[in-house]
Amino acid sequence: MIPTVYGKRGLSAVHCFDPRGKIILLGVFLVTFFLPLRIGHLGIHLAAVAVLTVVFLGIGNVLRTLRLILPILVLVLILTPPFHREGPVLFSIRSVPILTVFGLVEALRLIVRFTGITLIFYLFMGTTDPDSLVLAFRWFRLPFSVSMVLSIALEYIPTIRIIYDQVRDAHRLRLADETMEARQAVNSGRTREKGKSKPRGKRGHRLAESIPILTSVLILSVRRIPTLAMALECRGVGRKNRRSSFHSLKTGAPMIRDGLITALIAATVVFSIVLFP
Amino acid sequence: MDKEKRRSRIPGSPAFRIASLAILTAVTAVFTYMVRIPIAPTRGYLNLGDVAIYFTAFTFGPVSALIAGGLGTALADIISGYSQWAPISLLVHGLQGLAAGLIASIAWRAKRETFNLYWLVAAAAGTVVMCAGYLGAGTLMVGFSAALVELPGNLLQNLAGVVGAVPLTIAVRKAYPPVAELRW
Amino acid sequence: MILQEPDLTIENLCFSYPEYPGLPARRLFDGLDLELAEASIAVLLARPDQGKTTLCRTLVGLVPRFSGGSVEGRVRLGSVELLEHQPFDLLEQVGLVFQHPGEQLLLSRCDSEIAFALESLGISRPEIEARLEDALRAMSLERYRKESPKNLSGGEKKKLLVACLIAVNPQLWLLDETLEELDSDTKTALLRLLKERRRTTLILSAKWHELFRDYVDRVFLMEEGKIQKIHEPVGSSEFHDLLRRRGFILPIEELPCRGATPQPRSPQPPSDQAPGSKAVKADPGKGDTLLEAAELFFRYEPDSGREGSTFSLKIAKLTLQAGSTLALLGDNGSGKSTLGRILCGLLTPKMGAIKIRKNGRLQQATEDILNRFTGYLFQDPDLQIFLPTIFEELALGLEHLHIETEEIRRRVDQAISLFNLPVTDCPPSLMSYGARKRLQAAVYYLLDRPLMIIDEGDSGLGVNDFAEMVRVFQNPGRALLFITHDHRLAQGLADEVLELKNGRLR
Repeated sequence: MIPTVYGKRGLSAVHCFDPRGKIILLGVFLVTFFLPLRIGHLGIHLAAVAVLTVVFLGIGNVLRTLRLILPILVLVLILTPPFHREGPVLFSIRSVPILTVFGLVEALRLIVRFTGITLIFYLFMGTTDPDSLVLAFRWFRLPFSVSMVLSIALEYIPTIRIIYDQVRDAHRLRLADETMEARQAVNSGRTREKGKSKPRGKRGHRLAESIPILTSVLILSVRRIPTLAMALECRGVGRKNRRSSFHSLKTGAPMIRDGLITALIAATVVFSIVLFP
Repeated sequence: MDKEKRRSRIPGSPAFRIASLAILTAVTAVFTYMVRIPIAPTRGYLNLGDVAIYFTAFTFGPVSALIAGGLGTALADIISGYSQWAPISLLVHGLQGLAAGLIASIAWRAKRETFNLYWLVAAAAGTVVMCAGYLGAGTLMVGFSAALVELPGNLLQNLAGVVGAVPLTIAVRKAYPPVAELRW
Repeated sequence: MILQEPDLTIENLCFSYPEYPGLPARRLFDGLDLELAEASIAVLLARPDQGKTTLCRTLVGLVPRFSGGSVEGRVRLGSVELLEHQPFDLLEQVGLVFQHPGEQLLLSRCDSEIAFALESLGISRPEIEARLEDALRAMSLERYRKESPKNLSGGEKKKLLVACLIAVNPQLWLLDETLEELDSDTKTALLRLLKERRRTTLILSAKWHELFRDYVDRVFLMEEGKIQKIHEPVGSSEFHDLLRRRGFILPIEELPCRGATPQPRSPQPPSDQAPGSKAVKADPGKGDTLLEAAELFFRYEPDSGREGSTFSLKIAKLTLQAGSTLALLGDNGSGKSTLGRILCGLLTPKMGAIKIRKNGRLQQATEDILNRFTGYLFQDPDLQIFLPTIFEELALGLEHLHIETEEIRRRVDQAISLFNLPVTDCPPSLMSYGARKRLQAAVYYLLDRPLMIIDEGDSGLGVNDFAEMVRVFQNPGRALLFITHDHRLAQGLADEVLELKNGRLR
């Protein structure tokens, strides 16, 4: 259910790169963006990440991701400077400083940080399939039960989604007469005589209409718990012996190669931080 | 030996716990990303995830709400393209579920099955945790002022959460009594 | 004569459901006894809701562990007392294929599914690989190795679950209605495999299939909590007579709905009329066209995630008359449900128009109008249940048709007795599956819509009960359309049979 994104070249080097290495590098870059470095330095890191993402996932996808966060960035640009008005003044009204260099830099710092984080996560999620991710977590000592919860939840999300759609359809048909009447009541301003709540405007009404639907969805979902538990137990979950693992991540030469690349990139980042604080 | 009756209650078996958490996580994820009403420009939408978290907290207890709440909302973030918020959702909504679940379990232990004040206190605690958590994390990500913009939306979402979760918890319990046995 | 030591022995097995307020503990098994010789294949016939699934789960140890209730008795497999072990310790003794494959498949790849139980056993990777390949080959599933189980059809999912069992190779195999939905080649291949590998097998089914005759050693019937061994030689005419008498083979002529007098429809609800008007609309007479669909075309959006998005539905003309019963036949994927959903306004056709009879003439129908015109019995009866009592579920729709409380009470009571529903305060979600299906039917019976569509109603209901339900809905003022993939049922119950293939009417 996690959308894996494919750039123009399909399965690229980053897609095949060991997910353990990707997790480590994700952490390294994340920390970097939060450090109080010079704005130029941060900008270079952002550019590096952006270039990587564009190369491996395509400019179209990257622009789309950036467009999603554009409103936040604008908000940051507008709201941050008024609270940081020390330093050389760039703009003032009747000798009251409005915009200062410091304020601008602060805003840019936050923008670079958020954009960088967004892109690095996008690169990470878009090039890693969920199964490999879970395997990587298990290698990092995530317990088997938690990884099972994760894998099964991912498989069940579409199932619950389908249940929700079907329940919505079934309720719509059955309560077609009532919905008609309720809609008329809302439109003419009357409150419903019988019902769980008075319409509190459109949104409140929609929530009230949803309660029966959500009740059915929850009952259907909750009923599946014992059945799923049965399916797990009759396939051996709960045994005392040690589980073996059929699928595994890369071992041997490819793992060493990816490990070295990871170490190299991490070292580069760390050195640059130390040399140019 | 033949006539020995075998009775049971739902056991604390690993398979049962995995099943319960997996389905509740999936339900929370679907509630979070399926029903969305766009309001705030920052994180995007008003969603029913908090309804699911409070329902889980009231019906299933603190551990379930911690894991289902955290993991469910994180998965929903990833699915809808906001994966940068996933680790934060994991932490914040997880703690929200834990807080609400701990207080609500006081009511459960006192055998109060229907609507009671503990639920409201639980939801209040959850609200505080969630709003404070997002404010704090938001400050780190986008700065204090931008994070503050999200606060009214988050409050509204929690209000919708408890307004939805209370009747849902009662309705599910009345229409499907065995749900009380699924708690662990 | 050498007496063969039975491999599986069930001795005096009893099971009662747990007790709930308003629902006393119901006894399902009243001392079951059964013996199976090693490597023999047996069929257990039982109608829906008699306990086939519960029996399987009891043998594996899942009941009463996850269901509540109480179990007594003994079950011995070889030297192992099955009831004294936990399910996860019995992997190599008993294997179970669930009735609904969707409930048993958990992972994202077919090979992961097959490997899962082997991983639980701690088997080494090379051994898993060998068993995996053998299982995939035996069920002809090699090309699905890396695919998601969700992409498989219903029959293929069952094959996948059988492959999982092949890989583990337990001593006793329990197949819960597994052979339904499989085509004859696959059925034969499976039965042959079981014979070759000398597995003790119990096949549970609600119907007798002629294919069983060549492979099955023994047949049992389970009714009213007891198991009866059939002594008549399998396949003989006495055997068929016995099954016919007990309702496991149904000849077309014996179906009860032919010639039955239909129920008169209750007066039209006044909600559509202008206020103050007292005239009751004239019911459509038998034979009048109730619905007319012309030039319908529908296709799913390419990115809606639906597999095989080259599918399209095209219907030149479809007419439904009052008082008629139609059967809509077709395989999975032929478009039956799609057409059904268009007719009740849940899907909008890309092209074409639907007209319905209103106020004496045919008028264009929007989705909202179709929602109120058509009743649809979904295959899953639980989609609509959300209230605590049967009465509330039945009364829900009536309250908005402005009927007085006394009249509501009277109609609900009539529906309860007509559909054989329990008269208790117990929550509907705790009733048996068949009872919930009847409740769903009762709800729509009370809503009294001019067009009724029943989607795969015969699954889980048994032929007799389904035929009875069809009879109850038949009415001179109503058109009835039931969707099925059972040809004999369609021929036996409907006035007209429509067949859909790849979205086109034949």
